[in-house]
Formats: sequence, structure tokens, C-alpha cells
Amino acid sequence: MITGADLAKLKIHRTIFHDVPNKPKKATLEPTLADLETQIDAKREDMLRVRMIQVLGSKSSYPIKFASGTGSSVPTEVRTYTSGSNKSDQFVEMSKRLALFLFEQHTGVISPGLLCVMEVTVGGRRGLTLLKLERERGAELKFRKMDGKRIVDMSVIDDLILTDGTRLFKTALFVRTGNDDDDFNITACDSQRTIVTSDDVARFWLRFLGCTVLEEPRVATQKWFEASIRFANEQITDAIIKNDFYDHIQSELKSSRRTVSPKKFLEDCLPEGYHNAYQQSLSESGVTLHAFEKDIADIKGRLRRRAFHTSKGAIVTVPEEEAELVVIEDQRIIVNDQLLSVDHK
Amino acid sequence: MDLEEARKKWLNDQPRYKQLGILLAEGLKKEIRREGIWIDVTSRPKEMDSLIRKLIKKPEHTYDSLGDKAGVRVIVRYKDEIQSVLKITGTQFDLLDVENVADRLKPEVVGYLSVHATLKFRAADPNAVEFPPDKFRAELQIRTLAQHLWADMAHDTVYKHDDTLLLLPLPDLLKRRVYILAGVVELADEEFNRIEREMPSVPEFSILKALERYHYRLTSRRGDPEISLDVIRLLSPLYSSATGKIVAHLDEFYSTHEETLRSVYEQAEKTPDRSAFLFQPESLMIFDLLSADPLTTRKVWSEHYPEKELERIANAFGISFD
Repeated sequence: MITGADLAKLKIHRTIFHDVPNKPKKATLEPTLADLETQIDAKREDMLRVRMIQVLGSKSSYPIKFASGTGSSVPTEVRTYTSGSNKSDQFVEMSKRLALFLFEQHTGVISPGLLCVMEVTVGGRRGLTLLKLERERGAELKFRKMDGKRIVDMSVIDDLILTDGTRLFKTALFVRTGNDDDDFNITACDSQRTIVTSDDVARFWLRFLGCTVLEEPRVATQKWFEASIRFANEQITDAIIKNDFYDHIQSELKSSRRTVSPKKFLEDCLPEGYHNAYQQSLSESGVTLHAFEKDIADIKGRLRRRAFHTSKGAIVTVPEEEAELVVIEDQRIIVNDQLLSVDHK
Repeated sequence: MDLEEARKKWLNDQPRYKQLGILLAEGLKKEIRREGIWIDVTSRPKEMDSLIRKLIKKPEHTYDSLGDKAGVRVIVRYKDEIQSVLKITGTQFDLLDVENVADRLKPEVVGYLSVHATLKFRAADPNAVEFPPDKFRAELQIRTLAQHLWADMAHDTVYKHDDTLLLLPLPDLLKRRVYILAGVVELADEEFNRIEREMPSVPEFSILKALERYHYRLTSRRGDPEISLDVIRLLSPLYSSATGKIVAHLDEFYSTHEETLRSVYEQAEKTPDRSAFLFQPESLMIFDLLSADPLTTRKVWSEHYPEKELERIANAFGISFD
């Protein structure tokens, strides 16, 4: 898991940009690849680094791992490149292979864009960052020639990456933690994942990376749900806040959003005084503030509610699992529970 | 003493003594800052003309017996810190012939004050291979800022210390003015020391002193104390704890995050567009509060300071506001 402390130690050593258009079915359009690294000055390096921190530490970022049996060439490239020190031409060649592989995936509704590959270290550990900026945002790469070789000027960073309209990209940071193939901490961010889109678009970035989410979505969802319920039961003393919090949990899990961001949930759904305690409570339950893919398969029964409507307009709703609390008699219904609060609407 | 021979030797040896001074100064800086004391450390090899003049003035010395071919100067803020610096130095280096110049002065005499000593690498120090302690040593001077002010000014005029003063044919009134000035500086030094000792009774000052201890382990940059106290006043209520508990908590937070802090400060040195608050001692407190409760910290901060500055600090510490 890549933490804020890791991101604070992120250093960029090499950067290169390639233009990767959509792959047409018949025409012979090819990606435009740079032959040389883009040399960036200290100011832009810092700006790029800060932008990576903003994106990879954002509510939309999520931990991932290499998927087994993937058809992506990214895991092999990352594993090989980060296993030792490399020269500039090795970096350029590796990045070109990644751009060509991305081009192969750029079919159908996938937007074209530019690919930025960065060699990085995090606290001295080797790593790679991939960043895809999609072209409909206005991205257009300008190449120039240097000694007959194609290169992108560092002004691309000002023009395309650091503009306010492009705060979120498709990004991934791979950090090697040991010598084995799976000794990596990986975090990705994809702004499109939080939007309701077709599976193909939503899963494109993970498929390209050859990765899968670190924790099974149904496990992550259940862990977050249980930790949140436990927090409400044990630490929220105000009955109204507690009731509202239960409602927010329900709404979050029943919404059409594909992901849950505990960080955003905390900000939107809890009064300030509870933030620290909730964060600690999640942490003690092994739940991080990183976003995770939602799958309510294992908790569906606990989210379902049964509603009782009376002839004069009263409505009583109870969790499906607690339906026996409501006893129906001829002229009345009885709820065998203790009153916590009354909402006036 | 063959002065021509000394010249030749010094032309040859001076670069090594320069390197000796740099290594000793770096070692001292590291050890003393680890204790959270603000210091300014400089080093220099002796100039050729100064070396020759000394051999002419002190014919009992040979080229090899001169002990101050390299000099390391440590400047601290308060008198009390001189003893701490000596103690820390003694744990890492060989420290010989420690002399407090004040001990030489008669009670009714004021003037140049400083602590002098001879400094060498210990035999077990890896640098001792290149700089064997039986041959390579440097003169260490430790002064307060006030003592340094007097010595520095005196160097540019004629009254370097009272011995020199007595040699000069100055009118009595001028001599008196010089002594008064030295007395004023000594008095200021004492007063700053007393104020420093008495200050910690104010809660925000206690927190600032604690924060400075961590800050100077990371950098020698000095913050703006007025802003520091304002920020501490603004943010310390977020801890809902007594001053002692806040200080203890910050101590623990620093220990846990020291590696990250070192990396952030190192990176920030190369960053022109850093936050105006990053090199303030209270940035540690800001980092702590942002890690625990970013929303409340942002809200309280934004009531008094630009949020963008807070975001810059947050980003430097790997925290995203997105």
C-alpha cells in the first residue's frame, strides 16, 4: 500500500512523452514516439511531482496488484526495468514498448491521448509512474527534432499537465519493495472509474496495467460496512447523528457509483468532530481511506429493508433481518424496539 | 623555523586542512542539530599570510606544532547552549584543551568572550584514516551570537581584545567607550539567556520551543517567530489537550515521521515554489493535524491564512486535498 509518507518521498529521475492515438481498423495511423527523454528543470520537476501527489493521494486513488494470467505487457516491463539500474536508452526503449502496447488497446470507445512514463524513486526504492492524459481534454503533443531524434519539450508540462482543467488523469505508481515478481506497492487513479460508464471504459486502465484491485471488492465492501456500523454503534452517542450516519451508509452502498471512497464519505457524511475517531476506527479494522470497488454481494441482506404502510399514511421501515420486530395485529402494528429519535419533516 | 619551507608545506597541505574543516563542521552540525539546537557552523583553513605571521610572532612554534591550521566556528544563540554543544561534541570527537576565554579575564575586565578547544577525529572514526588524529587537528571556537557580533566588529576595528587594546595608544575616553560596549554586549547576552529560560511559562511559547527543537534537527533556516506564535495560537486548540500533552504528542509524532520529514525538508531546499510556512517550526504541527483531521485543520486555517499555502505544505508531506 502506497501511503502519504511514501508520496512525500517521491522523486522523479526520468521523464518521456509519447503520443498515442486511437488505433483505426483499416488506416495505417501509428503512434508518434519520442526518441529522447524530456529534460525537465527543478521547478517543473517539482510541479509534476506535486501533481502526482495530488492525484495518487486523492479520494479516487486505489491500491492494486499485478493480476495473474494477464495479457498486458506492463507487469513484465515494470518488473524488468525496476530490477536494476538502467541507462537513458533503456528507459526510452521500455517506454516506447509501453506506448505501442497502449496503442494496441486504443480501440473502440477508448479515448486517445498522451502517455507519460517516469522513472522514480520512493524513499530510495525504484519505481515507475505511468500517466495517460486523454486528448479530448485538449492534449496535443508538439515534437521537435534534436540531432535527428524526436523529443518533446518540457513546456508540455505547463501546457497539458498542469492546467487546472486536467487535475485528474489515469495514473499508476509502481514501487518495488523486494526482489520477487510480486514485491511491489502499486497505486492507481482513474477519474473515470467513479463515473457510471460501460465496463469496458471503466476497466480499461486496470486491463492496460495488467492489474487488479488489491482486495476483492466484496471483501473490501463488507469490511468497510462492518467497520462503519461498529463505529456508529460504539462511538456516535448522539442519536440523530447516529441515525443519519446509518442512512448515509445505506445510500452509499445502494448508489449507482462503482466505487466507495471512505475519505470522501467521511468528509461528506460525518460532522467534523467525528472525523479523527472514524479514521482511527477504520484503521483499527484494517480499512484504509483509499477508494475501493463496490460489491455488495455479501451484505445485500443487511442492506434490504422492509416497509410497512398503514391506512392513515404511517410508514415503518426496518432492516430485512430485523423484520420480526414488527408485529401486525388487527387494528394496530407494534414495533418492539426502543425509540431513539423523532424526525420532524 | 624555515619560513620558506613552511610556505611550501602549507601550499601543499592547505586543501587537506580545508577538507578536514569541512568534515568536522558537517559532523558537528549533524550531531548538534540532532539535539534540536540552532547553530551556525563554519570552517576555514588558515590563510598563508596568517600562518606565516603566527610563526614569526610565536617562534617557539614549528610548522607541525601549530594547532590552528584549520578552524571550526560554532555560533549558538544562548550562553547556556555552549555547554550543551561542548558536551555533544565530546561524545563524538576528541576534544582537548577546552578553555573559556572569560576565565582569563579579571573580574573588572570585559572584552572578547568565546570558548576555545582543540578538535580531532577519534581513532575509531572512519575519517581518521584520511586525517590521523595525531597529525590533523583543528581549533574549535564556540560563541553566542552576541559574542560573535562583538568579536566580528572588533576584528574590523582595532580592539580585537583587551591585550591589543592595551597596546594601542588610544585616549582614555575612547578606551572607556570600547570597554562599555563590550560590557553592553555581555549584558545583552546574559539577558537573552535569562529571557530564554523564563519564556517557556507561556503555553504557545513552550510549544514553539518544542517545535524548534525538531525544526533545527532538520534545517538551520530560521522561521518568523511572530507567525509561528500566531499559527500555534490558532491551531493548538485543535488538540484539546494541555500544553505538556501536546509537546509529548509532537515528540512522538516527530520520532515516527523523522525519515519522511528529512526527505521533505531535503526536497524543499530544491523547491523554489514551496509554501511560505514550510520552513517554519510549526510546519510539524500542521503536518500532524493534517494527518489526523484534514478537514477541520483546513477550515480553521482558512479563517486566517490562504488555503493554497496549506495545500502546498500538505502536498509536500504527501497529503492530497483532492
